[in-house]
Amino acid sequence: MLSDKDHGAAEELAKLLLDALQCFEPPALPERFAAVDSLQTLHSSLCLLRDFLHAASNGDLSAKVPLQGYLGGTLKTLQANLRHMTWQTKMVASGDFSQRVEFMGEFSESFNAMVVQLDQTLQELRAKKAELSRINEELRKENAIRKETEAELRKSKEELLRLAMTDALTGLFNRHHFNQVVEEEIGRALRYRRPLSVMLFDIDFFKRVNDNYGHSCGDRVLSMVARIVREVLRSTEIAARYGGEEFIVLLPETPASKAATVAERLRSKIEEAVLATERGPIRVTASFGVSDVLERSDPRHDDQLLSEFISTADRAMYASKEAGRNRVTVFGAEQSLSGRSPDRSIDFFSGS
Amino acid sequence: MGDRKYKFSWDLLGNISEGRPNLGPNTRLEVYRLMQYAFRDVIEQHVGAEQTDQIFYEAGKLAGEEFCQKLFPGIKDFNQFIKSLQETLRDMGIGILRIEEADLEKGTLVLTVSEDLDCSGLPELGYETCTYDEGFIAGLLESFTGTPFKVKEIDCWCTGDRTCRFTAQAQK
Repeated sequence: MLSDKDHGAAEELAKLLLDALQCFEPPALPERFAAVDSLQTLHSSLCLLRDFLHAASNGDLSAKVPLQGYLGGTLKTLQANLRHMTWQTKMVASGDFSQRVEFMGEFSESFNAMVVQLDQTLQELRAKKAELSRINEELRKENAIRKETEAELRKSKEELLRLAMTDALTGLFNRHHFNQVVEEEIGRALRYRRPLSVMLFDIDFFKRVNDNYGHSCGDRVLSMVARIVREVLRSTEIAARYGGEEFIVLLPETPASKAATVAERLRSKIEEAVLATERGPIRVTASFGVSDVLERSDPRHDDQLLSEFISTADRAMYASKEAGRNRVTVFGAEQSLSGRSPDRSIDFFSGS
Repeated sequence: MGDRKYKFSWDLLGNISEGRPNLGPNTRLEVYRLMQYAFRDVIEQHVGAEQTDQIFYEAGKLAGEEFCQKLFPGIKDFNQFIKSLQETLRDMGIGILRIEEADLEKGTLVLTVSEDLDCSGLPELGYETCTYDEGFIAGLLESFTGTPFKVKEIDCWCTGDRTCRFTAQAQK
């Protein structure tokens, strides 16, 4: 049994220690106990333990555990576990999903389940991303193939279109395409009252070329004439092979008088040209007929106008033939002033 | 030094499965500690405590280097190395390794070993005793990284800390 005095001292010490554990601020060690070293060590250790636990409860795991022995060792184990878990969490964050916590009871199970779930989810996301990339790549390839096919189709279509409106031998437009263009141009010239001329020409005595040199040479003559046409004409003037050895040229924004000048230049170039063949050089001439449309426009339908338009040029061309060939004849309103032009090869012709 | 008698080789450890068909590769931990502390006693008597610690550190370092080269060849990733090391140390009953900090750029690590082979359960002596472990960890890290490390035990069961904590610093 303790004496009343010892009991009182024990009570006081127990209260002091309990207060050190429970109070917001630890009590100071009373002066009269200062001489008791073990009590001072215990008091100091409790204060340090409070500070350590306070820091740890606020997430600071870096403080040194202030005690040794069982309690200190247990706290150190807890501290080591938490610090290791922090490192493991960093590893998981960096992509290492092999990390497992094995020392924190229920928390370990939850943490490990979370890491497994994260790993699975990320794997699924990666798989989906890979699948999307694969699909995207397939689409890209399909799109490239589609574009390539479209380009080929467009090219084929353009080629077909070109073939449909081009004369294969001379490379000039064919008659069908020319007639389409002429209709549009006549309509435009009538609407805006602009001049429009047509020039028709035929290679003189072309049958003789075929007969004497062969059809192959005849074809080469036709190609040569087409080349001269392309060289002489402007890009706005439209030339076509109209028949066997017959060519036609549409000259927008050009009255018959100026068209006759162009025709004369063509006639001259054809006359000067020489085609060298195995059987000797071939020279040809051509007879030209020129007509225009606007200056004699009337309310007749376009198709009638078209046939008359070309018919007048045709008649002028045959007038050139009859007049001795290798010449240009103009058929127009002014041809009523029929007579020779200053250029010897240009005649004015009235079909009436 | 002339011809060496005990230059380390894994062959010196012998063929355990052949040699111990009944007893197997394990033995009681007391036997290991009996041998280690008998060594410490005798060596200390010959060269003093400081030299004894140095000898154990260097022996541990040699063991760590050989251990790394034999058991973890081909591992390039540090995290994979640590994971393999943790598993191996646990499987072989050497201790439970945990990393608290690892900054390879700075060359610093803080790690703990629980239930350590050398010291767990020892009486509180007031000083760290895991000098062999220090060397072992240094050897492991140097062998893996190619950079020398200085390893120091800062908490030990024998200082009343129950968990051994080591700092490792690359010597650049």
